[in-house]
Amino acid sequence: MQCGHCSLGGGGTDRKLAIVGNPNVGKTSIFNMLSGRYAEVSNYPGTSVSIEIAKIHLGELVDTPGIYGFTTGSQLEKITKEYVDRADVILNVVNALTLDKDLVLTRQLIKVAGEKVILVLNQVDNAEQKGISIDCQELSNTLGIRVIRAIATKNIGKEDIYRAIQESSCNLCKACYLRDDSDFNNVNNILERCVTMRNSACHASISQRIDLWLLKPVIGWPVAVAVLYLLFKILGVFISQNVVDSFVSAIDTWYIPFISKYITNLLGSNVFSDMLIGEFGILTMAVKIIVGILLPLITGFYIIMSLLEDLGYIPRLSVITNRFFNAMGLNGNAIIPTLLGFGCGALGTISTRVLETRRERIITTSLISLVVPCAAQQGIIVALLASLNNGYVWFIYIITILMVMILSGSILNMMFGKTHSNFIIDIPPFRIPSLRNCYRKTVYRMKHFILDSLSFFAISSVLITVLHSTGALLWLQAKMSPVVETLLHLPKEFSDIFVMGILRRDLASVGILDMTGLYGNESILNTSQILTAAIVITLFVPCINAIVIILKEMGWKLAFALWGASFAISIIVGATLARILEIVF
Amino acid sequence: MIVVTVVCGYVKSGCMLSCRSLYDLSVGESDRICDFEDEVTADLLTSVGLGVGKIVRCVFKSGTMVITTSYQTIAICQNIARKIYVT
Ligand SMILES: Nc1nc2c(ncn2[C@@H]2O[C@H](COP(=O)(O)OP(=O)(O)OP(=O)(O)O)[C@@H](O)[C@H]2O)c(=O)[nH]1
Ligand SMILES: [Mg+2]
Repeated sequence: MQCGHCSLGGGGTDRKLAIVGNPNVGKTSIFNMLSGRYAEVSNYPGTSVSIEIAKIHLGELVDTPGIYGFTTGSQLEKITKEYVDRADVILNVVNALTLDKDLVLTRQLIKVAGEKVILVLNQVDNAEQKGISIDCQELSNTLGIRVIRAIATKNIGKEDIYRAIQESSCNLCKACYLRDDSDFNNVNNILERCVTMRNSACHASISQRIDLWLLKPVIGWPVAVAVLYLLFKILGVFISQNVVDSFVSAIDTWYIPFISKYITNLLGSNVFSDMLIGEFGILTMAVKIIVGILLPLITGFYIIMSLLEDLGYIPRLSVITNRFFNAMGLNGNAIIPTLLGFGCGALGTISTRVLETRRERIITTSLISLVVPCAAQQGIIVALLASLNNGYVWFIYIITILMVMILSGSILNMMFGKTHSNFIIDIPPFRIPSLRNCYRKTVYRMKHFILDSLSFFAISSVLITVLHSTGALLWLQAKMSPVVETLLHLPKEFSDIFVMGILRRDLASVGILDMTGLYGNESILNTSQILTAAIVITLFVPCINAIVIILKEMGWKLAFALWGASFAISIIVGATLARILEIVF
Repeated sequence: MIVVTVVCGYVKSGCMLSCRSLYDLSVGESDRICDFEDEVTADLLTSVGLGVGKIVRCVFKSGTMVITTSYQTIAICQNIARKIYVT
């Protein structure tokens, strides 16, 4: 493939290089390999829902969301099309194992962009394992474009891709690639000429054999419940009772006395030092909450999610939950944004882009905002409920949230006019999770989480300190008393939680944790109040950053409506439950 | 012609009377895709790897249908499965 004419490279560093291809073929893995950066890689279609840009020595490299073609006009197609139109070089990534499928898009790309397209034949390792070998020279002649072999997970093919990009601006090289039009229009003919299979009888792979069982609801559902149970055991029992305990006591014993003394010596006692080391201080309370409580819990959650994502379990979950989502006018694909919403509501909202229609996006976004607690919040709620040592508490919590979800989903489905939502998903094979990828993904997500929550904590800390010192907090508590005390039967201190919850629900959940005395303080809540508080805060208004994303993605009307609806629903459900629980407990 | 329309729901293929919808496959049965109900369905399915000529095997069927081809496992809803014809 090497060409002597252009070995020093043509073009310039301002060239736009777009990575385009079907979902889950390894585009982001190629992006990471070429740029040395990290963008999220997972074993399910629809991981990337927005573009990712990196400057490399050959130009600006853009990773695009996976698409099957340019026919449906979906949000993801629009995003990708914009970059295809602007690109100087298109790196079309295909999976060597599923060439027949992936070449459909390749042909469309060649039709619009001609020799700007370079075919990156990725996952060659998988194909070779199955006894498939592909004649790249023949494929290149048939398609009339350059073809490069790659194994992104092993960093193989990097130099060849760089060289192909350099050569793509050389006119002499372009002349080498004349297309054989007789075969171009028929993918089967292309495959016949270029692909040889060693074992013609195709036996079902191990992955397909496991699927045979896992995709049946009778087995799939119990497995899903077992996975959830394991998640709660790890988060609620191991992490929250052991790891968080030791983190919090280390912070209380070593860090807080040290930093308090240091700041007092430095600034004396005033409003500023109060903001830094006071009751809601950024350097004391924020560090205790973020590093001591949230960090271990959400690290645990992200590690488990990452393993499940890389294993390829999520598309299987989408198949078994398809019927459940049908009841709400959605399909199994909605599980992807919903699960990501369990990580962070804002992320879940953005990933509704994988859904085909605006109607599906609105319903899913609404469900995420209304009933899905984020990772940090879940960790705290799990810790809260686990501390009660009562099986009924879990049952009541899960049933209440599920009921609110199904009820709001069905109402939304009726509001937007019931239609059938088409479901089709290409289920990737199971893969052994790569520990390196899990580590990089967890670190990447944690970095975002810490930066995000620190800034929000700083804002809420300043806000609460100001409200506190001006007496506004007392006024607010008095004003909220009818809601907090009369309706929800909770102590008046819960008003502070509402103020925090408007900014971020996870910080508010930590407030509840503080009220239960789990980490040192005295408890001011009884069992039924803890459960009511956990449900109210789960259903409470979306965090500010989630609202901003909803506003950007769906418009202000939906953002406003969702904010109001979640406020009302959380109070109504909380008030009803408080009365029932007082009888039960 | 009328009979063909009633049986197959389309009239343009050569497989005509011998065809049936993918959803009619029973679990464990394999068959070859011969046509689609309309062009939109054809485009959609070809792009996920279910083109004409592909041999598919039904793995599971209950509202959602799970099929396997040589290297892919694909889940589709009943609605789409009924628009694919196999022979
Ligand atoms: N064995 C093998 N696996 C690969 C290779 N390249 C990518 N993968 C795996 O394929 C899966 C999908 O990779 P991604 O890079 O997220 O794919 P993508 O095309 O960006 O996916 P979307 O963003 O969902 O469209 C991951 O589990 C990767 O680890 C490869 O060359 N060999
Ligand atoms: Mg990607």
